[in-house]
Amino acid sequence: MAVNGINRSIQDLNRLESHASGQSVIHRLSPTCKVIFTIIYIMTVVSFPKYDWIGLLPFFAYPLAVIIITGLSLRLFSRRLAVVLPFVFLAGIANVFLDKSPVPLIGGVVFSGGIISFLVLFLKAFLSVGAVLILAATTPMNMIAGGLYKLKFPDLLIIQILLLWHYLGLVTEEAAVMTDAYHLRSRHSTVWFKDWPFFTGQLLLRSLNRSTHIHQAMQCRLFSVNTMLPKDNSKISFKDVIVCIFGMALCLFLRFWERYI
Amino acid sequence: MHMADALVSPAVGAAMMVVSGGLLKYSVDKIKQDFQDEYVPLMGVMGAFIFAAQMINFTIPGTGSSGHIGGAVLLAALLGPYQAFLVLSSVLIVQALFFADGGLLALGCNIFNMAFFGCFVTYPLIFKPLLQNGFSKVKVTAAALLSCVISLQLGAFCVVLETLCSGVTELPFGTFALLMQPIHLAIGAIEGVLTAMVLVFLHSHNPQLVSIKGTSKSYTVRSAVIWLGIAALFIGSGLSLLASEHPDGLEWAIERTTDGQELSITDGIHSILGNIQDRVSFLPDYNFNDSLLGTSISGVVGILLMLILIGGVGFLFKKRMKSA
Repeated sequence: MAVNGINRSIQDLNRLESHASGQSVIHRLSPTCKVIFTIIYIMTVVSFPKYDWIGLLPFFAYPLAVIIITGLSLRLFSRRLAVVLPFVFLAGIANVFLDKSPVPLIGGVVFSGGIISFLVLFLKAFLSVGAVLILAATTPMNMIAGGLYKLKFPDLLIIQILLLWHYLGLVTEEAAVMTDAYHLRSRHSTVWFKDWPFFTGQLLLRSLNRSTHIHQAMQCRLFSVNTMLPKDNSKISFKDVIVCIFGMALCLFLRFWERYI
Repeated sequence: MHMADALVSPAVGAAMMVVSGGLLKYSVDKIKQDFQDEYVPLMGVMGAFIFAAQMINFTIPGTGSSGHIGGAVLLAALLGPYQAFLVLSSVLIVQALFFADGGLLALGCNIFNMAFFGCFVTYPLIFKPLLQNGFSKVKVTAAALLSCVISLQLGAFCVVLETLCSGVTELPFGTFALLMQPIHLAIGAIEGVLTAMVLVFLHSHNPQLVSIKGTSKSYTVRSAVIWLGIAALFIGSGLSLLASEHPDGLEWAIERTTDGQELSITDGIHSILGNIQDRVSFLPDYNFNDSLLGTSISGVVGILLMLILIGGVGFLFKKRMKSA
């Protein structure tokens, strides 16, 4: 990662977190319902057959509607998508060369099956990344943790996620400062191979010292594991349930309507 | 090695979610058995550290490219396997949610591929035994190198299997594996060396950090016998059906030498012993009735006979040593 890579990631993280505390109708929905809907949405999208690009088009309505309603930044959206596209490209490029079966498109035009399946893979990646980004951008982390807790995820895992989230900024900022200092003194654009263990070892020792101080501070405040669990502040209203069920039913209808009509 | 949602089918994603969920539950239960409050901030900070460490790419000499570590073996060496699995899972969850590094549906796959092998396979079976008798630079380098290489190879192989089972790519299995495995061999080797160097550095500053962690469960002879017995029965009754029908090396050589004619037994000691064998062998050629069932039954009978024979000899030895 380049010199500013870590800083850029921290800025994106902060931007996401500040966006998540908005007050739009999407923000006010129950986190549990949003998590469940996101998973159903993603499962429906990836279940489409490899040549069915038309079936995926209606699913773009969800990210587009949320971007319009919440004012989510398209730049942030595209930066997140750029992370996953290379892997999707590598996985799908073989299809272009190996799958030569003719697939009819609109108006009788015939395309190579490999190109269609490559396109469908991209569409699926776009929609699935978009759905997760929407969840992260419209739900603060502690609310997502509350949603996972309601879904009976292990309490230690939720505490671990919350602590990781809280200290991520601290440790990554320290890593960014150390990286900047390193690059100002060296001619390499990344940490040189032989320097990496000492660099990372120092970061680890600083992190461990910090954890000791944190634990001592926690002990002064009579810390126990149960006090860290997310409180049941966000109750699931009837409206949230209806919206969630409607959304899931719509996804399933758009996926399977051809079988019944 | 982060898999995106577009690369897995719902069935594969859901199945791996169940598997990884089960492993997470198991890890949490194990941590709770010996839980101390100081684990909580330690694991939180270690998770943040691994996150940050994964952001610090290192230049790979001679390639013009860069890479980053996964951290499973490093975490297991510092925290223990169960804590390491929990920490790495939380890192992957946050990466999936906020950095689009790996999908939500593919989370189960990513947790299994990147955390399971390092924490539950190579750490207890390779890393820990190699360092059981003390820490040295050579031992930790060998342990880290082997553990990282094997865990990444297994993880990369699982990526191939999961992608192919999902029916996403047209790449044949062999080609896909041939593309994935060598790359991850190189990555695993580099991660192994770096992990070893970090552990040596930490050990020089704080030796207690790198003391061998994990459960002190000792495997009883009874459980070992049960598991070996199950494995033997599976191989003898099941996998034996897949045995090749072609002649082995010696038979092949003899066929070529004698132009396909079988060696005939002449008079004398060969004939006597041949007659004894014909009378004693009740499952000639590992079969009877020339059927698949016959092969399976032959396998099971063979295993039971070996168990009785070796068990009996062992029992006699034990009795003799006790009386001595």
